Amino acid sequence: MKNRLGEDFKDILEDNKHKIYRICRSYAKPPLEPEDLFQEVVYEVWKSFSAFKGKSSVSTWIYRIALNVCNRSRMQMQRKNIKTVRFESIQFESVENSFNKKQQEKSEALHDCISSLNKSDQSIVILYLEDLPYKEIATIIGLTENYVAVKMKRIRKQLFDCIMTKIN
Amino acid sequence: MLEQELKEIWKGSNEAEKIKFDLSRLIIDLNNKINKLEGAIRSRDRKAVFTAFLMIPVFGFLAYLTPFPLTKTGIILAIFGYFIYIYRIRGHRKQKLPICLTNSFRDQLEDWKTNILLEVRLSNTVLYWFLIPSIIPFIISILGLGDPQEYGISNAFVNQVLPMSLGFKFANIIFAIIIFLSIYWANKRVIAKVYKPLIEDIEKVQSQFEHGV
Repeated sequence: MKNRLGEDFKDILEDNKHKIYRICRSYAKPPLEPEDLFQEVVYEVWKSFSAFKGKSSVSTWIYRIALNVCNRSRMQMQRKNIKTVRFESIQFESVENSFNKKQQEKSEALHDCISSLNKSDQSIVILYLEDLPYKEIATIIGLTENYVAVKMKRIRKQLFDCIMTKIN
Repeated sequence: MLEQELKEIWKGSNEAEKIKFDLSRLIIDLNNKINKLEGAIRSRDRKAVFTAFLMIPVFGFLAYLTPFPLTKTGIILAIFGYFIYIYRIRGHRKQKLPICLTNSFRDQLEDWKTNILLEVRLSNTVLYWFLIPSIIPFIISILGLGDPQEYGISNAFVNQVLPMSLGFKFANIIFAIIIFLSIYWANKRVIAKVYKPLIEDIEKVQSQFEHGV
């Protein structure tokens, strides 16, 4: 039973680790490292894993935890100098990036532009970039689908204007 | 630039990191962390209530032993003070909402704010549930201390400490007041430096969702 739980947890982590890391990277601001946030998200996923009843999709559940943990950690970290003790069981290795220099610049510009948005818009745009439908974004954040659609129209323009200015 | 291109840039932005797990070790690490954190919280809660419960019979025994009526009254008031303390702390814990990070982002913000407001209320009222119920009995007890020999008590230790001069009694009271004022100030400082800015941040995000500003 315990092994099965572990195996299911591993599958969920393997399937979702990149999306978790992307969110953590977007929320991490020094002294907060994406690796610390990632570990916190993994910890919270494990803590609530046995209670997960499948009422929402795994993806919605993971995104909710990741957003909540990252947002909380960032707000708290501004006031407390908490240092996370890193697990040796999670290893981050740098690999040769298939991105070329131009793409790298665009990626950095994108992250800068996301950071320039207000906090509520950031949470919406991150999920939008994850390619989630408005309905799922609305469920994760706790808004109506219509609200997300209207908001996204404005945020999209803001984001495109920002990124075009940065890369041109 | 197309939307799709933007999404590809976003999704490719973490290709530079390869994340690997040692699952069996990870589960041990995670369980250790859960046990450590939950153990620390349980131990803190138990210590606080245990100390308060322990002090009640100790103070009761002291009240029984002491011959000075005013000091006896002070000690009995201190016992009532401990009851107020236990009642307030337990009530506070019951009121707090469980941290549920699987809730929607907005619900979680609201629950978080509610809990911080409860902490603010607890710290703001520390004067009424801790400081006043402790300092008044302490002052009464100290002022009530007289000469034990008048009550026929002769004990080497007691005779060394008592009777206490009025100056020494006031020095004790002033020292206690300074300690209690420091506790009051520390609570006010936590509200100003930690809780209030956090509440402002949360309200800012909530307002952004509600009004777009």
